[in-house]
Amino acid sequence: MKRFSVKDSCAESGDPVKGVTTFTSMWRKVMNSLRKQCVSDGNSHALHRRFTVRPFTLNYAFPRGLSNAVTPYHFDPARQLNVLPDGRPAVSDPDLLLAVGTTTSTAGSATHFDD
Amino acid sequence: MTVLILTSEEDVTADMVVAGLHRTGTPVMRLDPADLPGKAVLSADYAYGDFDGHLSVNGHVLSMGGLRSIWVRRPGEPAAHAVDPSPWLTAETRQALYGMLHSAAARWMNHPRNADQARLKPWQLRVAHLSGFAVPPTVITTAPRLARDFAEEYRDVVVKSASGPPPGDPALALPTTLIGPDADFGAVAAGPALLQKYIPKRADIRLTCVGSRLFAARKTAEPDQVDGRYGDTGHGWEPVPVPERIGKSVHEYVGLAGLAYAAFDFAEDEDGIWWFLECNQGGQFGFVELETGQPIAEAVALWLAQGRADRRTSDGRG
Repeated sequence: MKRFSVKDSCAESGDPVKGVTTFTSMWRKVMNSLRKQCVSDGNSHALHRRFTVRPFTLNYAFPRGLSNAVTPYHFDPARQLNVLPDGRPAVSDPDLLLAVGTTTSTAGSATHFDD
Repeated sequence: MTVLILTSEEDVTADMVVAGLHRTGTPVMRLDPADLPGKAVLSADYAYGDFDGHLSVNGHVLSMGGLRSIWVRRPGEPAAHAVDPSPWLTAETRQALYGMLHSAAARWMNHPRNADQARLKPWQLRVAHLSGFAVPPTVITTAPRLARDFAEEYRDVVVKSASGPPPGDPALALPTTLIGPDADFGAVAAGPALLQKYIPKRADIRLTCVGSRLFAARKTAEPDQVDGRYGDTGHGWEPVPVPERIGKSVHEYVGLAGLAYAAFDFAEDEDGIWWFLECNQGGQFGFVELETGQPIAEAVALWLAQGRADRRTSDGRG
């Protein structure tokens, strides 16, 4: 198992990188404890019990409340971009784009998480 | 020579680049893989030691011999709009489309192989280390005790999702959230938890890298603001110069990662240090350009319109 360590990285200040902390010894204790549990249970799959607990990270999720705003433009297949009702490209109105919020960092996050 | 943009029709950020390509007279085809089969038609043949392929959609036709570059922007799932969609149809369509595109000699922004790796947040931290960025101490663990000890050592830590909020209904948001050592870490055993030392910041930095060009923007943070993507702080994005050392690290990072485009997020602390948080290989730039006026779309269009890759490989970052 790869050695586990935690270090501070201080590239700008030039401070030296700190060494291994107490995590290494704690990691070993945790793994030893888990191994003993396997042996006493006589069950090599003791580590793979079915978890019904909600993963920790999801405790901080909340309903997003999708926007019901209707975008005031539609796709023009011939021009291959979105146009306003008067035929102008939507990108010709930056204020409008900012207002509808379709270029924000969370726009599209429903399908693409690397925003 | 044509630029192919893989994105959805409603992607108005892509429009900014399409408009730029139109201005320079560069041929462009815009395709949503979700429309294949259906609106879009594909054909590829492999014979006599070589191959040729064609795509058509909305009256536009593209041959692989005339393909200059590919921008993977916000593509839908292949075949998602088919009359009778299915996981199998998606898999078959993905094979056909991306198999054909991989066979062409074209520059990618970004190549799917590199994009897949670049999306791995733990890997991002390692590359950031190697590139010389300041990186907050981070642990990813399924061991509750280790999570608790990490939180006890650093006191203020944030919990983040590596892959984003889970899909489904209702839609969920999963912002980076500040927690303390008193949190109940028992549920860490139910799924990997990514914890990171909290960097109190005076500003968010968004640095967009397009080829060799860098565009940095800064937004003042509210006191105790943790995730700058959520909540209206009343501050806007402003252009800022890229510190020389940061610029070198960015170029090192994208070189190691094989990326033609990347959007970096930094936290600027009280001493002015830019702490690396993440690198989004498909990160949004529309909001940055609209607020700062930085010509990011123009840079993307220019990169896409430049020369083609070696026909022997489809990796061409160029």
